[in-house]
Amino acid sequence: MTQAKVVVGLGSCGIAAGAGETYEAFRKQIAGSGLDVELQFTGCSGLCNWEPIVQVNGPAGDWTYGEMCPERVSEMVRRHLVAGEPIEEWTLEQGEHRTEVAGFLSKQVFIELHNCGKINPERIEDYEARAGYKALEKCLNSMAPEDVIDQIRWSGLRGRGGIGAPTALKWETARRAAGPVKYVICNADEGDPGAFMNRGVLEGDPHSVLEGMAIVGYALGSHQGFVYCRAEYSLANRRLEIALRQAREHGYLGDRILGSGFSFDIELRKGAGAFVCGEETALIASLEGQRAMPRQRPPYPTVSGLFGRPTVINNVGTLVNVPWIVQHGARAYAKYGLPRSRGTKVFSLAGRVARCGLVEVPFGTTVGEIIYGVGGGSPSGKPMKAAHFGGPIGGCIPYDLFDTPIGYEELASAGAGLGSGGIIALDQDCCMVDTARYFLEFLQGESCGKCTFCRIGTRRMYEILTRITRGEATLDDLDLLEHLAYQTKNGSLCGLGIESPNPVLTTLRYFRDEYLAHIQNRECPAHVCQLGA
Amino acid sequence: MAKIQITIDQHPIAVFEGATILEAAQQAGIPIPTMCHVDGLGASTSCFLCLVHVEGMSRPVTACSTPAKAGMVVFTDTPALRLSRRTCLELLLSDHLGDCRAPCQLACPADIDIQGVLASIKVGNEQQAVRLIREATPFSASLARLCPRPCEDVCRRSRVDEPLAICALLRFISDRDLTSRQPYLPSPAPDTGQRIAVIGAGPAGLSTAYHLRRKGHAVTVLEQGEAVAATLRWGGAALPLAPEVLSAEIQRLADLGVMILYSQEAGSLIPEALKDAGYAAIFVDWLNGEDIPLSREERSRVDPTTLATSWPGVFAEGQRAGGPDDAVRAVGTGRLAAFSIDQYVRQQPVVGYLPEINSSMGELEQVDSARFQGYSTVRRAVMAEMDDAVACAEAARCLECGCAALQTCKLRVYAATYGARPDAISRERRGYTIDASHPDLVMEAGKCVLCGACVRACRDIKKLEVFTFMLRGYETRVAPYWKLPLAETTCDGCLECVRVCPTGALVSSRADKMEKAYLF
Repeated sequence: MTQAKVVVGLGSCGIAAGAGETYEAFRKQIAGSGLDVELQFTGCSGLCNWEPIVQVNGPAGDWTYGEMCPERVSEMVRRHLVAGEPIEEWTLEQGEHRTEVAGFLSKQVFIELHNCGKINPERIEDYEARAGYKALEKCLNSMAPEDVIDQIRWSGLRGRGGIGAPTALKWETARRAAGPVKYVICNADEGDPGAFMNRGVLEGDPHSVLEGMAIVGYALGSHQGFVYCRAEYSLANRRLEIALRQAREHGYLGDRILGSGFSFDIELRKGAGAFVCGEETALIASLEGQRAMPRQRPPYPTVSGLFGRPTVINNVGTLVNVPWIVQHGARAYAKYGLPRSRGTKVFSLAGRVARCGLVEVPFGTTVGEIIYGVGGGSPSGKPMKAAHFGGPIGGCIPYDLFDTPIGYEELASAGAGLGSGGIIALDQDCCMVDTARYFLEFLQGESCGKCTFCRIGTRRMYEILTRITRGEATLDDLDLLEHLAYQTKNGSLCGLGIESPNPVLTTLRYFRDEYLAHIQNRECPAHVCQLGA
Repeated sequence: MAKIQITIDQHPIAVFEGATILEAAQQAGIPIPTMCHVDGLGASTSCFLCLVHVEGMSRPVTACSTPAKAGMVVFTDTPALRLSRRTCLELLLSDHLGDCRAPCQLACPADIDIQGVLASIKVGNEQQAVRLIREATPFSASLARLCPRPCEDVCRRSRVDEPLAICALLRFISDRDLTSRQPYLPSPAPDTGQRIAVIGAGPAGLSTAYHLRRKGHAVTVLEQGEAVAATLRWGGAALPLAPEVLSAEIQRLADLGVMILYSQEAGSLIPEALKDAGYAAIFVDWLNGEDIPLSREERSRVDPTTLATSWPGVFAEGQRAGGPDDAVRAVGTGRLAAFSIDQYVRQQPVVGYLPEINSSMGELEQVDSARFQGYSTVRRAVMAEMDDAVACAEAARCLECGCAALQTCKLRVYAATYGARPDAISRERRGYTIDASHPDLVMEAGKCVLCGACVRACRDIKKLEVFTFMLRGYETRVAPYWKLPLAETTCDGCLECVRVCPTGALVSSRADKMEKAYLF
């Protein structure tokens, strides 16, 4: 038994903040020091704001250090590990950030993220030690596939990709669909700017995703799964590969899993980074080796999906809930949330908030509680203007509606939609027209190019928004913008096209005065846009 | 297979299970517009023109890919759908880089198919050149002597070197026809039994008479003045109009069967009286602005789209603008008058020309310079040196701006149907590209609507896979694989892609193209 354990957060957020160097500094300091210290790493713990994060467990107690740049390592080793005196002012429990961290964690409940920041994602033993693969074992030993689907139905779990389809319904449909060959696909093609929920889980707890997929496979009678992960997530891909190898070695994947009659394996496929691949029919086309263009539904993939076979596609965020629900029971899950939106939801909180990071809160938490309670409001102290949900195809919730509880229907009726879970906070220094322009610029470049309205309509909307932010637009342009937004919503095949006008429509709904100020007075109320004389 | 009943636009239709709404509508003869659907190639579901409304559904659905279900109630032509289609077409037009009709023809007051004439001269088919000119006017030799040549002002060739010598070519061809042993005369349509009077033998009156006669009507031109005096109305003595040329061209009308009566009493030229005398319709020429038989006020109220006056059956040239191209414009006026009068005497709605959409690459100076690359400077011909070889070489300088798919382009047809305007949505234009490397076909990507029909036809019918989609977002293009020039692909020139292309993005470049494209 080692005396102490040092755990460095090596998720993408930590690495970007220099945690790789911190880890290396610890390694050098500990090696040859004679100290009986185990050096470990973990994924993102959600506290992205205070990266690099270093946890120390030992005789002096459990401490979490924030902002542990490499320069601080030698002093920390000397004082904490050698002398046994924690540097309390550097810790998140006692230091200057103490109240901020407490605020950040105050509303949170960890289900999806319950292993993130707690285990070494590259060690299956760590996962097993936290009841990993016990849910799969429970399914194989004591549950019929129908029982598994029932548990999921009673839990109220809905898709976390954005649409919010009841997860059990998808599984049920695919289970009943004819044919011996069925597929399970994990949609890990997270592509919204400012969204990193899936990345956090894939980097911090990849086995949960694989276990969730195996349970889906058991529930439908499928023997093959695919993880479709965007290639830009290189660390997530590497950890998934390691996890896949370990899961096979430990008998959680492959033939006759855990001695049962159930065989299931998973293949990792890397997407080439097209936003549209998050749309399930485009993702299937891409997996089949075709150009990623969506096709008409119905038939839904649950009836005719990959290679024409019944296929369940679930988001990473959906799948990681599955082992937890199987293990703890539907009731334990359903006690969180709202009647129609059960459980918790992970958000990536970014933008004009004092504290950004990965956040998991029960449904029913209000927008304001996330922005102010968890996020701490604007760093400049200026009033908030809006919270943008769901990335480029999402919409904004204005400050006046910050008491809206978070739920699928609740956000949709406000015009925004839950989306996959990205939240961008916007304060008084943000221009709403410029925000809409930013998202439309992204979308006009990410349409698959198939449908007229999505391909050309988003471009024309972007051009009009650009003219407005330059002070070159007329009121006729504004009418045309609104007209194109409605027509594009009506005349598109997939979610990308249908939802692409949302940034325009919600900002027009709540912030039309900002548009008019740009057009009629040639001024940007937030002083963001450079308007011509 | 079982049949099911559905209702489209209140017509009950029985279709086989599995048929799409589009197929059901086609079966019942109900038109639903589509750019991307090609029979036998499966649904593409990309253009979104075929949106229809299905009762009980919150969003419109694509007819091409939605299966008909028993009891379905479908509406194909609601105001909301028309608006959606118009917007869809205006978006496609906003991204359409090409000219429908050539700018020279659009600038020609007499509406001569100049590009077709030049193409005919280029291949030595003089007879066809004359025939195309005669579609527009019998007075080309006279007009060529006084026309201020607006066609040459807009000629795109001037961005390469100098504009085409259009006027000189028309004059060369027209003069030779006039002095030939057997000048070309179009055959009139079978007699309709309708008598029509034209008051005044000016350019508008005589042109009206010519076109009405061609449509099979019996036409009498009534002129106050002497035969020679009529020439004055062609723009005055200051213009280099040769009286003997005009006489010869007017004689052509007589040869066609138009009766021209000179030295008529002013008092006999009253529209009411002529109608009483059995004329079904009357056209009143400008008559040098005399008040008889139409007051100035009456003239000012002539409907410019139909040339109808407030008296039923009486049509007239409105106020003349004056200027050097007066006579040429009057010739165009006559053609429109004949069109309207023909509608009137056939008891059709009098609407003048049917609406036509013309996409344009822009004003001369706006056109992307890439359009003019690959042409070398060639000296412009002058009238004095004109002979067969010079004419042929001059005609070969034509850049052929007008679209080879002018008559078949679905975008153009639907745009007219739904009132879509090419410039309704302001936009940044794409750069121009052309691939003319292949002996059998030419690809102009700017005219592509990305329906993917060529991709599917080549892949599914020919198994060659010459074309593919490239890039994404607004930059998405259909192009040969690896962006190869067409000549370096596996394309064998079967032209299946040209057959399914709804626009002029892919056109045949074989010699027979001209025969197909320019004959109206």
